[in-house]
Amino acid sequence: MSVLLKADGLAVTARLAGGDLRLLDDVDLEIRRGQIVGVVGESGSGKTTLARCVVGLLDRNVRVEHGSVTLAGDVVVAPGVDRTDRVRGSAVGMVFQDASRSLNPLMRVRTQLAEVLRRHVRDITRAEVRRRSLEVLEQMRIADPSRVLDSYPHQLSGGLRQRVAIALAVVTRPALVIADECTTALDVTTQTKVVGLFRTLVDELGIGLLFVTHDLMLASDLCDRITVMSGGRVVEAGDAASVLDRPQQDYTRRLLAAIPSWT
Amino acid sequence: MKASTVRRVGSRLASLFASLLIALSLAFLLGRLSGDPTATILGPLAPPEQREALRHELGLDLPLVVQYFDYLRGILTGDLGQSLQFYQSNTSMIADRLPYTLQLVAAGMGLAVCVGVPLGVLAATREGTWWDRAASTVALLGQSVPVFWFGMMLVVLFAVKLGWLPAGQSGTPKHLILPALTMSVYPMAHIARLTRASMSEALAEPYIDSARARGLGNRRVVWRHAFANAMMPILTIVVLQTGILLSGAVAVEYVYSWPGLGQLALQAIQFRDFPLVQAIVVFGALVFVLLNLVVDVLHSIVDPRVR
Amino acid sequence: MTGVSQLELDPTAAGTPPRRPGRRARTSVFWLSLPLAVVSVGVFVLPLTGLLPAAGQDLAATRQPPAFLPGGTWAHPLGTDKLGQDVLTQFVTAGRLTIVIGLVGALVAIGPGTLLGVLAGYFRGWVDRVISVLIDAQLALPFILVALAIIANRGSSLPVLFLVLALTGWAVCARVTRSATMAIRERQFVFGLRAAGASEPRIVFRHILPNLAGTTVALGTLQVGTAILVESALSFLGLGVVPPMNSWGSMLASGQDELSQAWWIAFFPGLAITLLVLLVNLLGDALLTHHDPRKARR
Repeated sequence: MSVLLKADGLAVTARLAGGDLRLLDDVDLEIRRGQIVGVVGESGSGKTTLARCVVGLLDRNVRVEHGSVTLAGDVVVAPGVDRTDRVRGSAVGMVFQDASRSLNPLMRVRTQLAEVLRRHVRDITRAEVRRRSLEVLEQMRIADPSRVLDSYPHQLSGGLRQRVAIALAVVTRPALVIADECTTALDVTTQTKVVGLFRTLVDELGIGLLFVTHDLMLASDLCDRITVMSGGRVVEAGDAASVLDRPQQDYTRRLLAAIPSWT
Repeated sequence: MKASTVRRVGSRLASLFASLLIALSLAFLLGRLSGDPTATILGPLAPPEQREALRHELGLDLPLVVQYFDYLRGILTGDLGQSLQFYQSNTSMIADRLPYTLQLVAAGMGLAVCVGVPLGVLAATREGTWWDRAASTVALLGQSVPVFWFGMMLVVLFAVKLGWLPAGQSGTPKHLILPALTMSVYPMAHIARLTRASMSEALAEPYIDSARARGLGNRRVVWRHAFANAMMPILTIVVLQTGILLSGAVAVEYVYSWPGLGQLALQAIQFRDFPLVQAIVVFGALVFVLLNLVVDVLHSIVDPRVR
Repeated sequence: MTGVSQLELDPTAAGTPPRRPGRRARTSVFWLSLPLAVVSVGVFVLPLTGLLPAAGQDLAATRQPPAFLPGGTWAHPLGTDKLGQDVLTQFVTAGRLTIVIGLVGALVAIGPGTLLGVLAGYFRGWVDRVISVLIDAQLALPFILVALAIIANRGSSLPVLFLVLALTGWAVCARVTRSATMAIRERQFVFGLRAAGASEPRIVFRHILPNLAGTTVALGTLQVGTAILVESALSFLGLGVVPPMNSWGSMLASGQDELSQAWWIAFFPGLAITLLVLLVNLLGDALLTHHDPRKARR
C-alpha cells in the first residue's frame, strides 16, 4: 500500500505579542490507504494544529518553519508553500468536533451537499448531484436519506447531524479524511456507532483516516497505528497494540494510567 | 403551522398591539394637555360664546373618554382630524408630503446600505488590521457628527463654492443628491458598525471553518455562509432606521427646504397646530409598528429555525 | 473554535509571562479622557484669562473671515459674524453651556434609567413587566416628534430641554442595566448573601449597584454624546437653547442663515461638536469593553 499522507520534520510557529510560540516541533507522520492513524494527546499537545495544518486552516499568525506535508507524493505544505487549496475538500475531507454547529443552520442538507459537489466536480448535472447526495447519505447508514436531504440541520438529531457532517467531508470521494475530535461531543452510544461507521468507510472506500482524539482508549479501539503527542512533539508512535501494551514513554504511561477503567 | 409557532406569532402581535395602543394614548394626551386650542385659533380676544361654539364644533365639550374613543375610531377609519392652521384634513396633508419624504428616505437608506454593509464586512474579514481600524473610525465618526451640520457644509462646498449642485428645494434628481447623502450618514455608520460586529461573530462560528475545509471559495464562505447568518440584525436595523427617518428627518429637511413630513411637523409646531402634530405622531407610531411586523416576517423568511 | 484552539495559543502554557488584562483599555481610557478634560476646563478658564477678543458688536468688522484665510486678521482668529461679534469668543462661551448640557443631560437620563433597570432586573415579576412595557412603549414612539410636541407645548427652556434629554436616554439605559442586573443576580455571591440572610435593600445597594458602576459610567459617557447631539439638533431648529443663551447648537442655527456669506460661523461649532462626541463615544466604547458584564462572566 502506497503512502498517502506524509509529514516530515514539520515545525510550526505562532507569532504572538509576547514572542514566538512553537506549536509543532519536528513532527513525523505517515498514513497509507486503508489505514486509520490516531493522533492522541491532551489539549495543547499540538494535535489539532497538525490536523489543521494539513488542510491549510491555520490562523494568520501561524507559520510553517521547517519540514513538509506531502499528499500522494506532492508537496502541499512547506515553509512558504501552501497548496492546500488544491486538495482541501477534494482530496482531503475534514470533520470537526461540534457537528451541530459545523452545518450552516440556514441551508438545507441538500443545498450544502450540492454546494460542495458543484465546487469540486466539474460540469456535474442536477440529477448527478441528487444521485451522489443520496448515495453518500446511504453510505452513512442513514435510513431515510431523502427526508434528511430536505431537512434543515436543526430538524435533525445530534447523531444524524454528525453523519451529515461526515457525508459532507466524503461526498467528493477524498483519499484522506481528517476527523478532529469529532466524537467528543457525542454520547457513548452514538460515539460507538460513528466510530464503527468510520471503520466501514475506510474498509469500503480504501481511504486513509487521520483520527485526532484525546481519548487513548477510543483510539486503540479504532486505529491501526497511534501517534502520541505532547507539547508539540511526537513522544511515541507505533502499532496501536504495541503502544498500548508496551508504552515506551512516561507520558504515554501517564495517559494510560489516567483512564480509570483500564487495568 | 405548529402550535408553538401560532403561540409565538400571537404573543408577538399582542405585544406590538399593546405598544401601539400606549403610543396612541400618549399622542392623544399630548394633544389634550396642550391647553385650549380655541384660544390659538380665535385669538385671546375672542368673545367666550364664540369660543364655546367652536369648542362644541370641534367636539372638545364632550367627556374625555368619549373624545378618546372618537379619536381611536378616527384612526381606524383613516381620519386623523383637521389641521388648525391649514383648515385641511391631516390625513390628506400627510399623504401629500409623504412621497417627498419617501423619496429622500429611499435614496438615503439605499446609499447607507450600499456603503455601510460592504464597509462592515471589510472590517470584519480583516479584523485587527489597518483596514478594520480605518473603517471602524469612519463609522464612529458618522455617528458623532451632527448630520444637519454635515449637510450645511455640503451646501457650502458643492452649492456655494463649487456651484455644482442646488442648495435646496426639490424637483430634479440633482436636488436629491445632497439631501440623500446627508440623510445616509447616520444609518450608514450604524449599519457599518452593526455589520462588523455581527459578521465577526458569524465568522467565528464552527460552520465557517467547516465550509472552508470543504474547499469552498473565500467569497462564497464570506457571503453565502457568514453574511447570510449575520444578516438578521442588519435587516432589523435597516427597517427600523427607515421608520425613524420617515418620521424624524426634520433637521435634514429643514436644511434643504425639502417639502416632506419633517418640514410639515416643524410648521405644525411653530404654529402650535396640535391636531396636526398629533396626527404626525400617530402616523409615525403606525409606521413603526408596521415595520416591526415587516422585521418579523423577514426574520421568518431568512431563518428556518423561527418558521 | 476559531483557528488554533484557545488553549494551544495560550502564552502562559509556554511559560511566557501572562499579559496583564485590561492594561491597554486603561491606557486608552486615559488618552481619551485627557483631551476631554483639557477642553472642558479650557472653555471655563479661557474667558477668565483676558486672552479672548472682547465680546460685543463691531459694525466696522462684520463677516471677517478667520485669520488663516485671506482677509482675516489675528484680532479675530476665527472671524466675526454679521454684527462683527468675535466667533472665537462666542465659541468658547457657547462651549460652556454645551458641556454643561451634555453632562446634566446624561445624568438626568442615567439616574432614572439605572434605578428602573435595577428594580426590573432584581425584583423581576410584575415590577419587571410594568417597566419593560414602559421601555418598549418609549422605544416605539417616534421620539423626535414627541420631543418636538413637548417643546411646542411647554416652550423652549433649559428645564424642558433636560426633560426631553431624560426621555431620550432613560429607556436604553434601563434596558442595559436590567440585563446587567439579571446577570449579576445569578452569580454565586448573591446566592450566598441571600442564604446568609442579607436584606434585599442591602443586597441591592451594597452589592448589586457597586457591581453595576462600571457599566453605568460607560453608559453615562455614551449618553453625554447623545445629549450633545440631541441638544444641537433641537437648538438648530430653534427649539432648544434660544437667545440670549448660546450653545454650539444655537451657533449652528445663526450660522445657517449666513452659510453663503460667512460659513465659518457654523463650521467651527459643528466641528467641535463632532470631535467632542467622537472622543466621548470612543471613551464610552473603551469603558464598555472594559466593564462588559458578559465578558466578566466568561
